[in-house]
Amino acid sequence: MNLFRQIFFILLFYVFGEILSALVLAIFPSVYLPGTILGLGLLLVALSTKILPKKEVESVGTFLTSNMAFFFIPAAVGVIEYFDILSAQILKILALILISTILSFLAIVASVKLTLGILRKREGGTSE
Amino acid sequence: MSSIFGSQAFGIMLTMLFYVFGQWVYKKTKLPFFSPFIVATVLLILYVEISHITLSDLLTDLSGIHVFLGPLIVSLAIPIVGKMDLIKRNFVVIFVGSLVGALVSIFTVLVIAPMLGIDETLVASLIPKASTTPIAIEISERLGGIRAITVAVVVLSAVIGAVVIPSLIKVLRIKDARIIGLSLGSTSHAIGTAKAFEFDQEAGAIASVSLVFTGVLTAIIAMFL
Repeated sequence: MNLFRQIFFILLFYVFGEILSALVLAIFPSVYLPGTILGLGLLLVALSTKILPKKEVESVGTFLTSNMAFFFIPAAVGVIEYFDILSAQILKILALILISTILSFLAIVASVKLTLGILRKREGGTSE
Repeated sequence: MSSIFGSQAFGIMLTMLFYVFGQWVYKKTKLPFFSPFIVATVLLILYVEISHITLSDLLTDLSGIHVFLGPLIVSLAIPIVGKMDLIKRNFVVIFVGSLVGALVSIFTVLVIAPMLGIDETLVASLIPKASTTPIAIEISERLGGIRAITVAVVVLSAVIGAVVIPSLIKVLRIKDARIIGLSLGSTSHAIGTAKAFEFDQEAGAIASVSLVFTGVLTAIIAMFL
């Protein structure tokens, strides 16, 4: 478990993602795919094809993802600048979140049930 | 003296101290409101209020922490690759559930926010609310939103989802682990995933995968906004 190698590989795929993002944007000026998302995709491909063994990134990557909240504390602290606008609208925002959450939930339940039904029919109702 | 307190090392040390203190408080109380994240954020805000350090100086000092958000998003590939078998078995269902979750969340914000009279400047910050926080911050900045408001909204959404959805699941008597996992993971992110694990292991695993799927799909849909 060489931590330097692990940090290096994670940063490498992050940079790969940023480069790919810039390339895509250069070729298709209206397509902005975030570099981080592309980096995630590239790392997923490298790991699942075993080009990059999982142990080369596992400890550092798991440390980052399982302590995610720590890394967005700086982004959250900035909220004091917007206290006025937030407190003026907080009830409306809460209402929106509540409505949106319930509608998302119902839509997910309906769509997944429908999908499972279609899949089951295709397989002749023999298995799930 | 002031140069020590205004240094990156001090700012990052203080954040870690508050976070570790938050972990201790959470362990003692077990109250979701006292999560290490909330405790550390509130303490840092108090620190800015009572010290001579301005918010922008503190944020500059803490940029060393913020830098890790990008690599963190990339690292979300690691929990996914460990669940490849589960994903292969349920790919269509996970994809459909996460896509519907991302779409409905975005479009309810676009349609309902103006109806409720929510300030136009807030809408861009609200759009990525179904996405996991680090990805949501990116999307929000891209759309011209305010990252701090996005973090607040994503955390509020996660808490509300984790309270409301388990009761809806019980009322509607949903037993399918896939539906439980998807509905919690793609609306309530990490907190929802923890709730899904309380239902059962498969629901939790599906939730942790759908959290990443929903984040990625939200980023892709946001491309067209």
